[in-house]
Amino acid sequence: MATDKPADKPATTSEAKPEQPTQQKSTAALEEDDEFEDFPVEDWPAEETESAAQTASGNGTTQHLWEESWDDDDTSDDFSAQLRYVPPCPSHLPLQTSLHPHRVYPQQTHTNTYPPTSEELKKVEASKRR
Amino acid sequence: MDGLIRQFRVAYATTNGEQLAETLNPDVHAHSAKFRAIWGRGDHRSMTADLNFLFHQDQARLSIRLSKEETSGWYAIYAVYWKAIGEILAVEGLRNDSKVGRFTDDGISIAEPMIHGVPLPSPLRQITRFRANQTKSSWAKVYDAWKELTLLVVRGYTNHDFENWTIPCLYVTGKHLRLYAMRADAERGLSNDNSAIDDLQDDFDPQAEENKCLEDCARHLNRIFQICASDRAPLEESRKWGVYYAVNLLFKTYFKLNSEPLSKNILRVISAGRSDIPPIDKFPKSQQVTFKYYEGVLAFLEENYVEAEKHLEMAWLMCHKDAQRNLELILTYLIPCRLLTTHTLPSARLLEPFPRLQKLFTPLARAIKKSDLRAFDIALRDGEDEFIKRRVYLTLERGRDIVLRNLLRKVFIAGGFEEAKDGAAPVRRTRIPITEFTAAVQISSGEAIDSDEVECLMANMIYKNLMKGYIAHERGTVVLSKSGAFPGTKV
Repeated sequence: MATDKPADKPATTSEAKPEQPTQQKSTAALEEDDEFEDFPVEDWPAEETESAAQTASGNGTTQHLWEESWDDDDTSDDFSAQLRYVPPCPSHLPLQTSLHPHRVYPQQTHTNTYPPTSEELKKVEASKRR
Repeated sequence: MDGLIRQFRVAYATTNGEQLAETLNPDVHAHSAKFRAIWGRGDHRSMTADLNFLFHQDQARLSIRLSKEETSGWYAIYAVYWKAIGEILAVEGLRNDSKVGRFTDDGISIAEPMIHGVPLPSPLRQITRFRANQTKSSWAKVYDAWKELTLLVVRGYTNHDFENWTIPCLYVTGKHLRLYAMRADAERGLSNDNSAIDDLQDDFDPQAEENKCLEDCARHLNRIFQICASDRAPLEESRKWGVYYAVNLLFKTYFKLNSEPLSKNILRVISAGRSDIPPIDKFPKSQQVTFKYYEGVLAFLEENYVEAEKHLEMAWLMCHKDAQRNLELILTYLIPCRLLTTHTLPSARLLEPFPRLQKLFTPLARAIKKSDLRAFDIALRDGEDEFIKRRVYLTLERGRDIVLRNLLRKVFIAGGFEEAKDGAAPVRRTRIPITEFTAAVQISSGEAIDSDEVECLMANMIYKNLMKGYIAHERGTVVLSKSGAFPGTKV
């Protein structure tokens, strides 16, 4: 069983699966989907898993496939110099009101007027009494 | 028919469910000669005569123990299977008996009914098409025939005492029902393109119409799921061993129909009955990987990234190393997950076998590493369509926090060290003017930004625990923690 598997594997996975050549043609649009494909075989030994393939090439772990999200290599003196010399709000750059969702604007427009109107003061008084 | 039933008997004698299911596998391309032989000349009467003989008279039938109930169940199944085979052969153009073709008997082309080159007026067209549908081979007819078969197989369990080792049959029929449903829908989609005018009526709902067969199919698959999940027989002879097969088919179907909430319902049913449903790791890897993938994607769509990562990682590790497309799909979700949960990026090596993923994620990953806000925004915008289609856009968008974190971290590192006091280990400068951060954000994003906004961004970073420290607003300074100002990044 283990001997004949590698032989038929490339044929079944890299090309269209033998049972569905027409589907691949007639419904090319379907292939665009998230559709998880059927595996050509039902089960396989542990050594044919992605995990085995990756750990074999990476000293027994898959850690080497992921890397840290930051890069310390390019921290140059240049950058720290720049930080000192760029003016806080340079006039040559147009001040844009960015609507990026990640930026929450600190200044909020206050709907309440100040000083409070006599109407409002009465309400405050009333609530205190309660 | 002879051969088929002989195969059936062998499978039955050895109670080999896989082999039994194989007799119902309509793989007409691999074995077209075999199926043509089964279909014969398409004579219904001779087929029933054959089956009658094989199930009721043939001495060899006694080699297996079949109750009367089971016999009638299987008899009906093979009769309908025969019919379905006929439809499949016809639509694949493999049938060589007389009644098939793209033309009706009176020679009118199906695609464009015309008289002297002029399209027929609408009512007449519909009549013509109706007549055409009567004789034309189509996936819709295949679907109908196969649906009938599926119903009979299901009935086998409810009415004809089929035993649990035969459940691979349920899976094989369900699996093909879904394939045929999709083809029937696609086929109708194509023909509707040609005649859209006819269908533009007030009550026409294109959304529902588009996936008519598949929705119908989902109901039948759900029935299969129920049949498996609700079996109360002791576990070793329970149909519960079919649960994950049915669930995976359902997931695929629901995802295609964009009804993920229904998938959640299924998951809920499974977890409710977890104690008596066999654990997923007792199933073949193909089912495990498929299930874990969908379970992961469902958690992902609910923004439960920790859970999602767990399932997707499992699917990825267990996936067959040559199943490139599936690996690619798993990574499509695993990469954004990782970005948010552990703030790690895929290495070039990981992406290497997947040009599509490379194209999608490499610009983003590079921008994140370089803490380049502008490049990040551009990469996100360039990939927007694809990201939205894959439903990872909103998740990736949150990656902007990581870019910002890296940027602020860079400012912190650029700040260097305080002068060490009498031989103590040097300490990084932890009081940093907000102007420096503002400058950094401006350099990185290429846009002007005022320092209040930057303060706000930093407050958010502190809130999200991406940065430790406090903002001394009056002094225009940020005071960062001496130990681990940016948790998890070694500074």
